[in-house]
Amino acid sequence: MAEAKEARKEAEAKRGEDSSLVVVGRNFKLNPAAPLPDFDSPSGPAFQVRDLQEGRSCYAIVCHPTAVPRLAEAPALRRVEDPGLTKLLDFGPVAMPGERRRRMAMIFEQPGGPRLMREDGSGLPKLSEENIVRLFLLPMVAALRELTNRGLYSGAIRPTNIFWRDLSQSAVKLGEFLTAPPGAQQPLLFETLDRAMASPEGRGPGQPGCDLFALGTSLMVFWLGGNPLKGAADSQVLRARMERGSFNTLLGRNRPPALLVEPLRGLMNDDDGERWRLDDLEAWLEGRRQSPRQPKAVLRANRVLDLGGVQVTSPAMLSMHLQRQRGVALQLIDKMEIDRWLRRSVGSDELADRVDDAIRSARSGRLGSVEDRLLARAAIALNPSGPISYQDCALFPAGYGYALATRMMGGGELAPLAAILQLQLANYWTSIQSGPRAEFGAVLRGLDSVRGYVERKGLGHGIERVFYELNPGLPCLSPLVIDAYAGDATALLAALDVAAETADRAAEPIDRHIAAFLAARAPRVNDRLYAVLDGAPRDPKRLVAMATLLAEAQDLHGPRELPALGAWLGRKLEPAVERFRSRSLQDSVRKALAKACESGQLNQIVAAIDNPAVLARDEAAFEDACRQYALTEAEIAEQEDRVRKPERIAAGAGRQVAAAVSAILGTLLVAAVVVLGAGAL
Amino acid sequence: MSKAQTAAAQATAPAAAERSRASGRDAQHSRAVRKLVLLAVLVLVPLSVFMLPVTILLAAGLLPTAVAFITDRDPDKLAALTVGPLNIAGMTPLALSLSGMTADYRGSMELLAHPINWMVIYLAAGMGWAVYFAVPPVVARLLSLQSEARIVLLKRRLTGLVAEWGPAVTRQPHGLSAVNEDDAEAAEAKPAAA
Repeated sequence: MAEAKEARKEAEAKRGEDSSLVVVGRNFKLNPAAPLPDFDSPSGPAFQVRDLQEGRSCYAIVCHPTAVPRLAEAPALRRVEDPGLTKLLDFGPVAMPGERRRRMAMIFEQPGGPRLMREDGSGLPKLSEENIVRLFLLPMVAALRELTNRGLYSGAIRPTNIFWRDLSQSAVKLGEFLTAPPGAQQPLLFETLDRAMASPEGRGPGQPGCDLFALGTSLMVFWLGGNPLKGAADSQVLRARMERGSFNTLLGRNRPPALLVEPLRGLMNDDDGERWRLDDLEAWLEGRRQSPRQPKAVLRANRVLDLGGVQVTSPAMLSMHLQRQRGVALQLIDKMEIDRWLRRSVGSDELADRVDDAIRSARSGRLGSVEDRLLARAAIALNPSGPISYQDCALFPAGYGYALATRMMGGGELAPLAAILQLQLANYWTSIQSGPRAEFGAVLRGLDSVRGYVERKGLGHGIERVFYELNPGLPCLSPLVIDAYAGDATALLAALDVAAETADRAAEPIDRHIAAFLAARAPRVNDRLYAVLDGAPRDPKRLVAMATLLAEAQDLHGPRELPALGAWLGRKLEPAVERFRSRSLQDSVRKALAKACESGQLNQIVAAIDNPAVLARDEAAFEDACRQYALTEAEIAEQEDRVRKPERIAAGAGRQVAAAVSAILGTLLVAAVVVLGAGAL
Repeated sequence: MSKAQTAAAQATAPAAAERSRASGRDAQHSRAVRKLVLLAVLVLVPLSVFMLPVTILLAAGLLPTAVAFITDRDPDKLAALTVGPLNIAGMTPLALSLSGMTADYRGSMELLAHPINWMVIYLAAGMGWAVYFAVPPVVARLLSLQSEARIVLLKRRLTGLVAEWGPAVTRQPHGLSAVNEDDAEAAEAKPAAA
């Protein structure tokens, strides 16, 4: 009895606990009351997760509402099995207790050990070079090989994102890299020089060589026992790297390690072409030693250029500072100072000519301001391998989508990103790259395919459409549904159905974001409907188009029933009902509409209010009614005229009647006379 | 043509139309009288050759009808058509009396010498005039009442149309021309005034 009581208590406690757990996917329950700060990410806090199926130790990172997780790559990473990589188990939007807005939660298999290095720089064990190779380098190379073979890019290799696989520290594994855009959380020390010049969110997926650079830098930090440049300003670090090279800057006055010097120099080479590939590193690990490579000399000037107080020593540095010192830069360009500096101090006529061409082509353009165009093109010409910089944006073409997503989710300024697209700066950037690069083709095609949307301002287009096209999986940001984290058309319609219950009377179920989202995520919906959405607020055609759009989306993507959304549409469609001229027909349409709204089948709503045959018949009947009205009015006027002027009737019909009466009387009299006369005879 | 001239022309257009209608009616009347004279000559002259007594009687007895014909400005000559039948009815007894008399003009002259016969003829014609003046107002009143009832019905129909189709039904439909006579006459006068 006591045992049964105890079992009942345990079961109740479990049920109580279970009710507070947040379900993610089918097999996981997140415990909001059990945070795991050791696994926190800059993207969001970590929580304990129960694996209902396999009982693994897992944790979830619940991303901030404005985070930009790499949802498009997540399905591919779920299939990756490598002990050197943190496995993604599941992901999905969750509503944390006390919060209305859902957030993306990504569930990972929990590493057995702690981070290699904590955020404050502590925790790195002091190991011999051989142990570093065995415990760190070997597993990381295997992990990178797995990623490279699958065409995936990490962009998050750094000591604070590497974990021990177990408490015995037998090997390391790379932490998760899906909760933020590639490179967005990397300190610039761990990015190549060019990627370091871009905004973190604009770095985009890089080449495998960029991950290798990060690996090399992490290796150096591991060997040094910490980051010697911690606390230094990013601009100082970048300047030092540009002037002395990344390897020398990080090594500082230390003697290079005897064993690791080769891979360190090879991996930290600032020249993309000279940097070690994964094959080189694997060959070195197998014992095939290669001669150390000196970093290639950076193109530098023999005379410093003063750019508003910034001492510029190389074209790449000038490119980086053009936007930040735009006033001075524009003056120097106008006075041909930069041209002279490039030719005489840098000693490159070719570079100077390229910059001249860029300036000339910028002056002949028409979109945007000439200063912005000029600085953007000049920066690209000065450092082709660097990012595109325009106003306060600095990004690579492959990072455009992420940069746009970060600003859109975070409520930032979007005009510079729209301008980058309209000015085709990515095309110019690609044209200036040396040597063919197959990966640019796909990126350019993607950007070219969305450029037209920016130029069209109507619903279903605009920068919102670009955002949804380039970021599949990210949710609709309409204020109506933003809390639902609706990542596809089905979720959007379900969210609209929920929003319908509390929506403001004046609100409509389609706004700029929803239209753009549907256009991108439900492409089979008739896109001619979007053109009609920009009409006047009470334009019946616009309202019918809105209903038709939602109905087609429901037909293609579900859910099967949307009664609240149907009722919302029904309230909005009164002007469409008033299209019917006949009042009795309007009443029957209203009844049919009400019935259709109750059913939650939006196509029935459209059928009730937009039957072309019924509309045509109604219009014809209306024309007939107008004719009848006009004829009736004319007849009334005629009759009233008769009443007003009886003398005309008298003169007309009256006298005719008098003539008839006289004829009848006369005939009767004649007959009477004849009969009487015959009788007398 | 200046604006003032155009306005003046438009103001006098209705009076000009009325004068033109009046002059048209006068021309018609003159033609009708001439036709009557011609008819009289064509009918009475041969008739007088073969049926002189009847001709004399007709010529004298139908004078009220001829007067009604001549004095009536209406092109349809309804006065003559109203007076004529009763005028003829009044002459019937005389015609019947004539059949029993000598077949020459003396019989008709004898009849016409009696004032009672003239009284009968003119009494009958007088009845015709009485009908001509008395019946039209009665008819006019009856038709007015009918029009008033019809107007009520038509207005109800208009209300029904507006209730069913809304105020937009009052607009002019496509392809329907003006049905108002005044509108049509005004439309005729405008080119004349211009």
